[in-house]
Amino acid sequence: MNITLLSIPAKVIQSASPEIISYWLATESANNFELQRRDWLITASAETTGSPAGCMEFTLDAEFAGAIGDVIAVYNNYNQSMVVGHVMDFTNGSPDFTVVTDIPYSATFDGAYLNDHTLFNGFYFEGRLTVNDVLQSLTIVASPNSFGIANLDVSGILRIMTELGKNGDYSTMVMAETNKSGKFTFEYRPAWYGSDESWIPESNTWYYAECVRSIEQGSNLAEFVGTDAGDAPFLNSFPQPVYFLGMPFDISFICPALTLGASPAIKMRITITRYNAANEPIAYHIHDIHEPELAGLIGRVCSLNIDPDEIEVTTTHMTVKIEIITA
Amino acid sequence: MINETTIPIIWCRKGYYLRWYYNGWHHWNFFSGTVGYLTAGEKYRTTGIRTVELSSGVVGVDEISAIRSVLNARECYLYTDGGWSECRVQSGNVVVQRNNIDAYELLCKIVIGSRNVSTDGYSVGKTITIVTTPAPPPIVSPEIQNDIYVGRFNAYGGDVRLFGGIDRFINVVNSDKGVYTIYHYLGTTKFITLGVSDYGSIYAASSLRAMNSINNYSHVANISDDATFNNSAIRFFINWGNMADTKIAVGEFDAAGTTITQLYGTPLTFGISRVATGTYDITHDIGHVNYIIMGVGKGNVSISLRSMDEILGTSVRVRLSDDAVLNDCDTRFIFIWE
Repeated sequence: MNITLLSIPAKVIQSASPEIISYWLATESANNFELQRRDWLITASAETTGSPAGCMEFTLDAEFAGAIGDVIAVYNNYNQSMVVGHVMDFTNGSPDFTVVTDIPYSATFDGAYLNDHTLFNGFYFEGRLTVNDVLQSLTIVASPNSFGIANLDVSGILRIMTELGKNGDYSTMVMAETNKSGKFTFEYRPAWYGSDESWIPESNTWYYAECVRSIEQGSNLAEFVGTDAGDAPFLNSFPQPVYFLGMPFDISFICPALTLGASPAIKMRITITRYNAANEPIAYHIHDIHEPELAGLIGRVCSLNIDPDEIEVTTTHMTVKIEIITA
Repeated sequence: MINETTIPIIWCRKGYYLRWYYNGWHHWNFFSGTVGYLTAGEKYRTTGIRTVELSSGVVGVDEISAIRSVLNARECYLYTDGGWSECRVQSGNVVVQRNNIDAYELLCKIVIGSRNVSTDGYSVGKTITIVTTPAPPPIVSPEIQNDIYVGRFNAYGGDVRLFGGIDRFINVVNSDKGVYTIYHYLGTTKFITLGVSDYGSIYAASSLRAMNSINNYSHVANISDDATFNNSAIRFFINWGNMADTKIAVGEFDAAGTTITQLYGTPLTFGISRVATGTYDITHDIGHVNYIIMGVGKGNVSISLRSMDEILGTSVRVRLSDDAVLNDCDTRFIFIWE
């Protein structure tokens, strides 16, 4: 059986080498992993020579495991259609594995793959997530369409991984909002009545954030993920968030996956410059977060808190910038 | 990683302060309107519900697009004197104030419920802080304080601790090996910075040798042992100000030994002459020999004032070098006397 992962909800930020891909997903949007089932690939299509005459005979890429009388569906490359028929005979000889069907012969019939709906009765795809290193017991199932294609939408599980409330309590400069974000890995497998196939890992580490996105925007949060290809904005709807002096305030941002433990080490630098009414800088604050502390922020939505005690009375506005630099 | 973003600062207005989560955390100070109370029950259990009509105030189109997200938020909290309290936002209206100036206002109502079982028969719920406008402090022009500032920065810059001196925030950025930008915000170019290594072992011979790019809010300091720039933790000292009634005088002279200028401090009569390479005689009128002169080169160099001799009540000979070789250099110096 050939199971192909046709598409994933990642988004390419930079296609030129080195390729940069965003694996950040919004929980409130559909996040589909598209899979396709192709039980056997067809290497040749021909007209039957024996009984029944005038039908299609297909040469397969592997030994046919079904039985005579099985209901099958064959994809015809010529007109991109699925044709349903029955297995009339089959031969698992060497070197060919052939299946004789009752599908009427057509000279233009170009078989691509064959699915046996009797052998794999009740076929569906199953997916499961490991969220923040915890394997989730809930799985996702989806039945394929007539072409053997199905979407496993992981957003239902991601949505219940987020919680109401706020972890950031304005006590330190940068705090991870662990109840609004996290990471996960995805596995999938084919399933049918009585099966217990091995899980196939999808090789990437993904990240989720509690966000609402329109269909036009798509579920990927690439525009909020800062990478070597470019900086990103804060995760905030205000183009210029307002700081009401004296009141608790923080602003959210996505801390992307960073490589720690390499040489040279890296650090997160937060630069806050405060200005007076004449737009002159009057104070400059740099706060560095080094690797041990940085580990708790990676792959999370974080909140940047600005201490009101550090704001001078003549300050009318400030600029905030976050960088990842060499320590 | 994150774009530089401007954050305007506004004094709070009398009203209610909300935070909500909708694609990130948002905060806004709303004006309060009519407050309504609804209680149920009397003798054994009373619950109370309070409703408050809120207005965002008149804002522009960018702000209203963000503020209206409170209507779609799954969770919204009200700031109270007991901390953040969950509240429910009822549907509201976004009112277009005037089409020709693109001004908008969000009008909505929040519902705050009571969970407390009544003990005295009636309960109207938790006290809610109305955010009042604190009295704005008087505008004070930052004055140059006559003082000495002593601090320390680490080899990678950044962490600066203050001890002594005025409560002024200074930060240090390590921009290159042995090159540090000190943001002092003194509002003047008349000051001197001196420093020594605060770190033993291999960089114990490093010190603050020169200063350059001097302006009203920052300057660059070069740290080196001989002619080699090094990163090192440095304990440093900045002096500035009028200092007219103290026994301190700060000035600078040029490498050719033709010009000497006093920048500030108790007025002295200075003269300068270049005796040989890196060797200068400075004349003064301190009148005795109980004084010290220290100095740093001016420029992207590692030359500093290394020695003083032929110390007289009217003159002193100083020598400048980066390693064991004397060098001419523009120099900023400080005299301190008894």
